[in-house]
Amino acid sequence: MNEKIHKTGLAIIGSGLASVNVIKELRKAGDTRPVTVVTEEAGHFYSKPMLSNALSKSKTPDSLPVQAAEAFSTQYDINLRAWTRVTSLDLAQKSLRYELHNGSAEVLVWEQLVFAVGAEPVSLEQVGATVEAPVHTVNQLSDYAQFYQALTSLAQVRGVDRVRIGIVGSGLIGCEFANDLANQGYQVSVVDVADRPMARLLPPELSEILASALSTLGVQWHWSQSVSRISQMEERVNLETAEGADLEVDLVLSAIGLKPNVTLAQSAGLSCGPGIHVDQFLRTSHPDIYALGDCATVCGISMQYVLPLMSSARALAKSLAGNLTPVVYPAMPVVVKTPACPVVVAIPPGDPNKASWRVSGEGINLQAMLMGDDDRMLGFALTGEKVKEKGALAKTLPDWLPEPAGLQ
Amino acid sequence: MRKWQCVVCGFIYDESAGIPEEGIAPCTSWEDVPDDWLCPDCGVGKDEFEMIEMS
Repeated sequence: MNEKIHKTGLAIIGSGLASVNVIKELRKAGDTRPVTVVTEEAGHFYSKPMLSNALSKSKTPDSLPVQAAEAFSTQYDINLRAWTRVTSLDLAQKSLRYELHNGSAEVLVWEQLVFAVGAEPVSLEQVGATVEAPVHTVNQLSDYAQFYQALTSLAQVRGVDRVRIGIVGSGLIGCEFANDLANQGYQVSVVDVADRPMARLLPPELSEILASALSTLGVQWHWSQSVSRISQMEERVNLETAEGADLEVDLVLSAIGLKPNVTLAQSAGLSCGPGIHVDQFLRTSHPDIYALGDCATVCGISMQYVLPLMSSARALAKSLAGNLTPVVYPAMPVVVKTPACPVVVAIPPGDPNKASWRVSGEGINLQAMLMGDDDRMLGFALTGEKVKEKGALAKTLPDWLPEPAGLQ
Repeated sequence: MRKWQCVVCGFIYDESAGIPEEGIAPCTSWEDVPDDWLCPDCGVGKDEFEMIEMS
């Protein structure tokens, strides 16, 4: 087996937001080492957070802001291997093996390796449902293209207001999609095992504000329902739940959580759970292997958002360029893109024991503070006009991942 | 006055409004916003912003 062997300085697996920003910051720092990116995708730069409200902005898959892979590669002087799957890692040899689109395999020897492989949607099968009809998830640009295609075909044939969409999951992403689709005129039903939207991030009073706002747009809620079976019935899709509900829809979209892509790292013997374990310098248990973004668990913290990703990318790039820099997380509010009802949440990592919500405000403008048992504010959630206070409130919170004491 | 939108998270910088809480006065043009300024919602840099067409 004469596999071609390539050599590089920095190998990065993944071409998403984390990968792109490590590269940009590395080059900005003046580092010129060879960089090779291996990605299963096309390699274009796009924004995942924008996918969940792209419809309302009339973003066809082709008009989403995208910097073409080739242009990016040229601008930042990287070697890009798109449509390529890494099949194994050899930690002792510091190499990885990948398969090209045509099935042939090659080897890449690296000096440093970065995992920027993100997370993938938890599937309905993984939570016990029987799935016998297509279920859409939107996590990558190619998913969005497929979803958009299916949606617009149905809309063309039946008319937008006759297309029924079943969304499984009423968390942050499910609510954003519900808002986006309802805004476009689709009939939206949301199914969740919880009894209110964003149940893990909001106190009941704030969930209620959000639920009302989306109901006003026409969203129908099916609470405390666990999806048991998705099946095809001619051109429609049936969504059955363990509690006995039976919904007929035209299309199912699932948004029930993300799990970090750790299979490759795990098979190479790196410590994982849920994400790839890294320290405050984004280092895995191997001194030349790093991980960041949705695939990583940094000092025990797994936060799948852009703010921590950006902080990590900047710190890692500085370290790689020769200036060892820890990542520091201040309190990082998350803005929920539900135009029907502005919501901001800032929940610290971990499970604060004995934390309780203190809610104040009027009407749709509520402020909820998450109080620790020593009466200190640990986090907050805001709706309506109160979202304007997020910056000021965040400043009063302690860092979620502080500077390490005594930098090595 | 123009508006600039973050392509990663959708945050909009409105030149006429500025961001007083961050020391950016109303009517501060995009060019005058500091180069190291980051999107307040998601932390990306100015190069991830595009000017949005106003209808």
